[in-house]
Amino acid sequence: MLLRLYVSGQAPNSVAARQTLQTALREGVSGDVSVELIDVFEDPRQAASDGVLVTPTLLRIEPEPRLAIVGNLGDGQRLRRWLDLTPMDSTV
Amino acid sequence: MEDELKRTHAELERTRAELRRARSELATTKETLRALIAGEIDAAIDDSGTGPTLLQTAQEELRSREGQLRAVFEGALEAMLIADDQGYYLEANPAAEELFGVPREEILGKRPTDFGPDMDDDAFERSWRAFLEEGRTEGTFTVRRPNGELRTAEFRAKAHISPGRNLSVLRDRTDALSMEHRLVESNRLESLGRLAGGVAHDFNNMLSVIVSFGTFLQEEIPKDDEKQEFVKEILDGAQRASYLVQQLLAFGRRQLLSPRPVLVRTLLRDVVRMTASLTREDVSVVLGPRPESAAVEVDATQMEQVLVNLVLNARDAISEGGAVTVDAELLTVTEGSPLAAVLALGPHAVLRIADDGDGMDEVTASRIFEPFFSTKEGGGKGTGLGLATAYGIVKQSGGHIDVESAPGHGSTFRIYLPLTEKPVSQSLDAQSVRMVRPETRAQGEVVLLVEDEDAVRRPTAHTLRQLGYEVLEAATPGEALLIAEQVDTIHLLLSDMVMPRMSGARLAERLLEGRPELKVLFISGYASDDLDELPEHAFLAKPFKPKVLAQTLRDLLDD
Repeated sequence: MLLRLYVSGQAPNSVAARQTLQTALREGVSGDVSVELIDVFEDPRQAASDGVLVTPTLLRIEPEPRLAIVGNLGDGQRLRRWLDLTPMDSTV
Repeated sequence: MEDELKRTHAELERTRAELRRARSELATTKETLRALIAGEIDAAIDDSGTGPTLLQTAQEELRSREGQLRAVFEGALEAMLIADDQGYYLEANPAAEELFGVPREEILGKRPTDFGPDMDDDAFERSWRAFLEEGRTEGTFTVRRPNGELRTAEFRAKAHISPGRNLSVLRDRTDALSMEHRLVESNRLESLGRLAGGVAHDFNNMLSVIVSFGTFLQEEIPKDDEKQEFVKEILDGAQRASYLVQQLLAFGRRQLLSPRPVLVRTLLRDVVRMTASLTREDVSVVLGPRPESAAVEVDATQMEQVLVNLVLNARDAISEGGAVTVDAELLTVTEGSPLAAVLALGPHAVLRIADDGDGMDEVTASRIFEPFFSTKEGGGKGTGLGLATAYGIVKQSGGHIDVESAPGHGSTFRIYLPLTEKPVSQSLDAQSVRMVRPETRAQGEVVLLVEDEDAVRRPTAHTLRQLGYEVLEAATPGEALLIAEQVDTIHLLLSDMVMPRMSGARLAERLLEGRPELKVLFISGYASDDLDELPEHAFLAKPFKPKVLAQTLRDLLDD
């Protein structure tokens, strides 16, 4: 699984999203997961080409289809369910 | 027909795909809206080229968090420093300025090696790399302030608090460590003192037995019997032992002291007078500033002895010319100050004897007040009890003594004594009328005491001072002549008969040339045959009792 997390510097929701994602990954998910972290202040073009409108946004790039969670990823419950989903026919 | 069907199928597929994308976009939009409403968004990305914009709330929150962190950083009691990955300081808080003793601008851009005297660049590089790898470290760091003062700090450091930024937090432990050190030191000497005092007390009792029965024997055996010589040896030995015991008792704080209020000024002036002539030509004794009216309650005679001892030690510590400075200042011991561990709270006088001599290493300095610890080479030079005695007397007077020294940088002894509010008596000799009839006391006379053996001269000087005489002490006839050159009034010469280089008789002759009115009293352990040269002078045999000395002096001076 390839994830891409869009954040804006050290802004609070971005920091929270990063931490929640890190915690969730550390606690373990099924299969290999790699994460690309993109700061929109450093790389705004990438965000535009991925159609990302706000930060923080977590995109699932692979496998298809693309899925997105927007926001600070809350307490991580929803994120964990999302990471464990069977990918094909799901919505978020 | 088949083609038609295929086309329709393909279109259907496209439609389904678009539907899927639309559903996905809808889901993302719904998700974005949800996040917006929940306040989980930081920035909006504008694809028109202006780049991302932070939302107002996120900006405010960021600023407020930064403000909070800044306040913690600036207000912390502990020194906080942020360094880059090469160890160069980027930030320093006010506590760090205080610890390093320099303003912030002089910290930024420097590295720990610029402030720590015991760290070389290679060692620093190694430990810094290890720290960046480990992510954290802690330990002790010695800071040298620009004025040379060393401060010991405990530190904890955390690497990568943000990219390229590493935080160290340091706490100055110098005062606490020094307090602990003083307490340990003081407790150690305390127990040594108790032991020494206890032993000395028992020992003294045994010595009394030897002296009493020795004296009986001396009286029983005919004067011309050769056994007299043996008894005399026994009694002389006992007297020397008794002097050691006195010092041990002093160290164990069992000395009989008669404290009275004296001016610090006067005390130091007298000490410098007493020692000025005893020091070498290449060593000067300098009397520095002293508080005008501060008084301490001490046994002046004993405290003088302590101070004289310190000055003479200082003299001996100077190998190639220099100065011994004696001065005093006031100091108030407050709660939490390192000295509070060993002194009562309140105002104190600090008497300082500083030399620019050879100094001592840490090990020597830490043992210097122990009994029988001596740095003087050769058996005869010191008993190793001088400073132990000083320690005991100062402690018994409610004070404290310590030393600061470094090899090549001289030594400074400090005696802390609590100030007294009691009025200082004008009469110098109101104190020690112990066992002495008033008519045998001094009437302001000055006695020049010459005796090469410390063990005899010191108790004799002590007795004389207790009797109220002003005593000028000399260990050799040469010193005595020097003193006589500098002091106008000397009423009486009290001299040993047999001394190296010049006999007591010859010394008296020399002095009498310039001062025909000078009274002379010889003391000696030898037979009175030596006196043939100057038969008109009085003679007192060693050992003598204080009472006898007092009466003999009065008889001579009143004649």
